[in-house]
Order: sequence, then C-alpha cells, then structure tokens
Amino acid sequence: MARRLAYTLLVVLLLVAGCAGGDGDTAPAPAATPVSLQGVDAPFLEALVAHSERTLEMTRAVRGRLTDSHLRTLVAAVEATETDELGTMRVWLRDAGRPTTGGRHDHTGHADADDLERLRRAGPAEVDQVLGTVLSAHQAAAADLARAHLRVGGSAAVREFAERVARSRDAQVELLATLPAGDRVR
Amino acid sequence: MRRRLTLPLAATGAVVASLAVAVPAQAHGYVSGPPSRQALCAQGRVPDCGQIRWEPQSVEGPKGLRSCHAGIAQFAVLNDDGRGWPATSVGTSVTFTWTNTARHATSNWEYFIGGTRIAVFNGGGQQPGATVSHTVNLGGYPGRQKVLAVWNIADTPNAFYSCVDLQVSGGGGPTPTTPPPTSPSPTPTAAPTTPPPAPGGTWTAGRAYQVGDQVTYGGSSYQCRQAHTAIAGWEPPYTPALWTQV
Repeated sequence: MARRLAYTLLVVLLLVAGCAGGDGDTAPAPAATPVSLQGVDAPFLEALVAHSERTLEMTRAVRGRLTDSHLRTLVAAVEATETDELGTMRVWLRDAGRPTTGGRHDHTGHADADDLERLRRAGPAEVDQVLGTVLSAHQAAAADLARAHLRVGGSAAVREFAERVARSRDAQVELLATLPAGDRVR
Repeated sequence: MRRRLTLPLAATGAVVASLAVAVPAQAHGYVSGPPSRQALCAQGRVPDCGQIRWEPQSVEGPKGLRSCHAGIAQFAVLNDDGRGWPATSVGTSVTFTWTNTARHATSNWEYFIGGTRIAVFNGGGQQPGATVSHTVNLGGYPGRQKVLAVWNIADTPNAFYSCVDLQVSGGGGPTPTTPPPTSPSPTPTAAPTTPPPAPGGTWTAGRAYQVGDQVTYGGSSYQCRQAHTAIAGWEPPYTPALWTQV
C-alpha cells in the first residue's frame, strides 16, 4: 500500500515536473521500435530517464578510480547499457511529445546528491565500497520502479522493457553483493 | 521490511535529485579497426594497460587535444610511444572503423599524423551508427605512423580520442617487431580486428565475456563488444551496447 502510494506520488510529482522541459535533449536512440505510450507509460519513462541519468553521473564520478577489476567491468557495462536504454526511452518520449530529460530545475540538498558527493570525495581506499553501496541501492530502486509499473499497466513494449529493467537491476544488485565492494552493501 | 517500503520513496527522491543537475550527454567510442591502442589493451594483446583495458571507449576530453589519452592520467599509458605498440600493416588506403558504445550527434571525425590533419569527415550533427567507417589515403605517409583519430561530439564540448599505430606499405620505415598485425577490413559492420573468439556456445547468465567472444542466443549469433558478466535482463538481442549480431 505504501509502495502504491509512493508510486502515485511519483507520477504526480513527474506531472508537476513536466515543466522541466526537454531543451537538453538531442539524443535520438538506436533503433527504438515505435510504440504508442499508454496510461502511465510516459511518467514511468520520465522517472526512469532521470534515474538512469543519475546512474551515469555515478559512473562518471568514479571513472578511472575503481580498484576491483570485476567492479570496473560491471560499471562499464552498466554505463553502456543504460546509455542505450536512455536513447530508447527518449525516442519513445519524444515521439509522444513528452519531455525527454530530467530537466534543469534546482533541487539541491537532497540526500541523493549527498551520495554523489560521497562518491566524488571517496579516497582510493574506499571508493569501491562507496560505489558498491550507493549503486546497489540505486539499482534496487530502479528495479522497484520498474516492477511498480508492471503492476499498473502500460503498453506491451514498455512493459517488456520494464520487465527487463527489473531483472537486470536485480541481477546487478546480486552481482554487486558477490564483489568485495559488496561487503558493506547490506 | 523497512527497506522494501522505502525503496519507492528512494526512487522518487532520486527523480527529484536528478532534476537538480544538467546531465552531460553520454557518448563513447573508439577505433576498433585497425586496432587502436585502447583496442589492443581491451583485447589483451598489449598487457598491463591498467584501467583502459576495461573501458576502451572512454578516452574522452575537451575538443582540440592532440594526445592519445585525452589528458586523463589513468590512461597515460596510451600516450607512451615506448610501450612497443604493435603496428598494423596496411596499404595506402586505410579504412578506420569506430565502435560506438553510445551514439551521439557528431560534428565530425578528424585524423591527424604529427600535427597535420590528413582527413576530416563531416558528421552533420547527426547520430552515427553503432559502427562508423572512414577510408583515408595515407599515400604521403609511408612507413610506421601514429594516426590520431578524433570524434568530435556535436552537443558537448568534448571529443573522443584514439591513436592507431600503422605500418604503411610502400615506405622504408622500420619493420614492426611486435605481434603479427591484422588486416583492416573494408566492411563497416563490425569490429574487423578481434582476437580469436572464445569457444562460442550458448549465451549463459553468470559467464564473463570478453570483447570478441561469440555466443548464440535464440538462433542468432552475437559478438561481444563490451566486456561484462552476463546477467538476466542483458540478453544479447536487447543489449546492443554489449553485443553485436553477426
């Protein structure tokens, strides 16, 4: 119930945030099949675009500084796949006449920004651990966002996409937990 | 239980926080054929490269640089001409292939030898394909040459840099003493120079794949273009960033 409420809140929030506009968008996507967005597809995709943009900020914040080779490989693959996903989602949103970026409003001071700051400040001895913790929570949240969408409908194409997002983020969280960086995740 | 209940709120929070920052456009790519220095590192043909082995596509820096490593300290190995980089033997007409793990709007691609720009290809501000090929005439540059290839992104101040060591036939340059070169391929569809693929097999979650590995999935064959451990949700047909259908 709390979850459903939170998702509703999220949708409302995004509708309000619609004024954020998409002036920063220029990224047509690779081979996105045209889809007709239905129901809350658009707010879901807008939320996931913002979420994935944040993922990429995290990976940028640690570029070249990770120690564990498995973690580096995972992070590079996450970066590559989410960049592609962003392209797909932006085409879907653009074709539906929706904003295609998280926008440029100023909401500084939120806890998530603190996570990013922690990542940027993390020294060589701790950056793997900090990323493991932050990314694990971030991807778990993405999986939850995607699963919430599966429960409320939407077009078949976006549902399939959401299902893959949920599975891949769950698997990333599991994989992170097996790495040395995952020691402190739980 | 508490954690599960807070997750949607965390997601909501992430959305709010993400509104705060203008996110830089993402774009990544490198010259895969003839293999650039970072491609040789990614393939393991040149050992001990450090971090670049895992992200050959990430040599990104401000436009206008003329170094091989974009000024990134962790990638300085790429700018070290004393590393014995194997030079690929080529004729005077060379086809360079970029592998783009993210395809962003392009100003142009430039190719330099020394301080001289030997070729430029207009990107027209358009989004390139997953791979892009350019044929460059190196007739005036016999012998061993270091070509700097630059991908200038249209909507960010940045560019991507790849250095490619070549042995151009028809000249009297020194013969490369390092591993046997591979031949450039004129086909623009895939990385033309890859190490021998690992024994194929069916795509399997949990398995670690290296660049060049081949698998089958759903009756089709795919070649790995980004090292990763396979996971559910990253099946090859849905992850063009990780797999190219062959």
